[in-house]
Amino acid sequence: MKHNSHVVKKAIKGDTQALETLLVLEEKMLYYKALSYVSTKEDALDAIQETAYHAILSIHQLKNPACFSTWLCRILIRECYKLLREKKRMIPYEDEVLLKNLEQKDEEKIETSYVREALAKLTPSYQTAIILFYYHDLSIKDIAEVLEMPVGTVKTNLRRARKTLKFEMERGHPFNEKLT
Amino acid sequence: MKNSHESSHDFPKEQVRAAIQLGVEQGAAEKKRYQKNKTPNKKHTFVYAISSIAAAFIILLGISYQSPALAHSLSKLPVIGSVFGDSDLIGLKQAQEKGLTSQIGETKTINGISVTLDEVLYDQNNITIGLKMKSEKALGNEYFGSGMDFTIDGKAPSGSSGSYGEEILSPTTRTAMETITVTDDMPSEFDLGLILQGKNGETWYFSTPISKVKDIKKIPVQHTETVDGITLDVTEFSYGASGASVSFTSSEDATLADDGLSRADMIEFKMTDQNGNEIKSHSGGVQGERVRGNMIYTSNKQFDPIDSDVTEVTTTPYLSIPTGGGGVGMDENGEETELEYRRDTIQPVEFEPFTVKIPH
Repeated sequence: MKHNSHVVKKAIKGDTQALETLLVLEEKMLYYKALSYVSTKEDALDAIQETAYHAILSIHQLKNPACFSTWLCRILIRECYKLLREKKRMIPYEDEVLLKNLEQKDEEKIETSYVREALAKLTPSYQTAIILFYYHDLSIKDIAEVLEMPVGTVKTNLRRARKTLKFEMERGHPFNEKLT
Repeated sequence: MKNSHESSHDFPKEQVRAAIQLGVEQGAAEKKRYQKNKTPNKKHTFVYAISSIAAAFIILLGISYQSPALAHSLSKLPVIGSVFGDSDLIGLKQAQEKGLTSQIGETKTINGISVTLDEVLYDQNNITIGLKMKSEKALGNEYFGSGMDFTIDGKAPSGSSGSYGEEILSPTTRTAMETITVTDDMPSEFDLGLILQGKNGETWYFSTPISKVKDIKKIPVQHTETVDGITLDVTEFSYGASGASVSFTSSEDATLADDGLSRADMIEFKMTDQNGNEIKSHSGGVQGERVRGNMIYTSNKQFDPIDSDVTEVTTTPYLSIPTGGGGVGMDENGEETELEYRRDTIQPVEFEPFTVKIPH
């Protein structure tokens, strides 16, 4: 969403009212984005509250007013991820979308249940990397920020996760099983 | 990316705005606190604080003089400090003063009800948790039921005991304290998960790492006696800033428990220091187990902390016999029958006192 740069600049300078106005303008994005991660309304509201809290405390660090929405979204995702980690829950995703994004469509049709099965065999950090990158469209830099780990580690995890996932999916694929 | 949530969920505008507003308010307050702490000239801050408090007080007095309604509501305004600090438990206050408690201060708001996990203390006897609740609308006395469930590193414990109590300061404000009895299988450091449920299906979830306070001193005690069929074995006296405790087991013939005539589960202790000053007891639960025809009870009885000048404590076990009671049972037809209370026929037992020297 494009915002009035004057209002964003006021918020950066510490105008709480201006920031609240911007947050209200983004309310739908905040809610539905949060919901896509944490699944329940209550958790989504918690994530929004935490996002507003951290936005107030760190808005002065925002250098480019045009990037307000992206910056806010990053905070929200981080808070959602924190919530999921606290509750030891998995980041939600839809099998079909993830499968499509994994560029499997030109190969033999694989049932979506195999994606979930194969994913479950990955370590938690590999699972997270795959879901954030392929399903939630986060950049490697954003994933690094959300997971609080170096960009290099995210790249490595993603590469290894892709390799393992491919292997697991091929192994679990019924067409690869030998019928005796 | 496909976003199926947008189509399948109504947008709760009011609740989203309330969450934004609350987050902004909390962030702004935190920012103010931070900026205040950063002010280098403490003297000026102090004078400013004094003058602003005085000014606010004068303004409030002036307005309340003009408005009896406001004066009335001001007199009822609840002030919440720290849950532990405001409690009448000396051990909790001392532990807090010595910085042994973990100050959390995390607030979660659902349906206009804000629950704050205020403070946690993990000592040799209990995990004590302080909560604050504030709501937009008045809540019933039993809104939060019988308190919180907990997890240890994400897993529910196989069994637990403890207590939960609330202090209702106003229809919209209350504090609560939950104690979880520490058991041997609890690790000394873990992630404590807390789940509080509201009457309307709300679930507040908190997670915080906790570790057992390290100032606990343990003195082994070897005091064993058998009196009138009751065997008492006191194994340990421990003390720290949050309190003292006596660990023991007691046992007797299990048939007595079957007949409602058990006594070994009623043992309490009276503790005095070298000058005869009594150290207040806070009781403590008892766990019973049937082993080869005997009931074996295990317990930690808790006391106020001992003063630093205490050189020894003398502890006298005694039976705390209830003066009344009773119960309800079911017969084979499912009919309720009143159980006769027989414990008033139980005779007291005299145990030997024992003394523990406190090293300095």
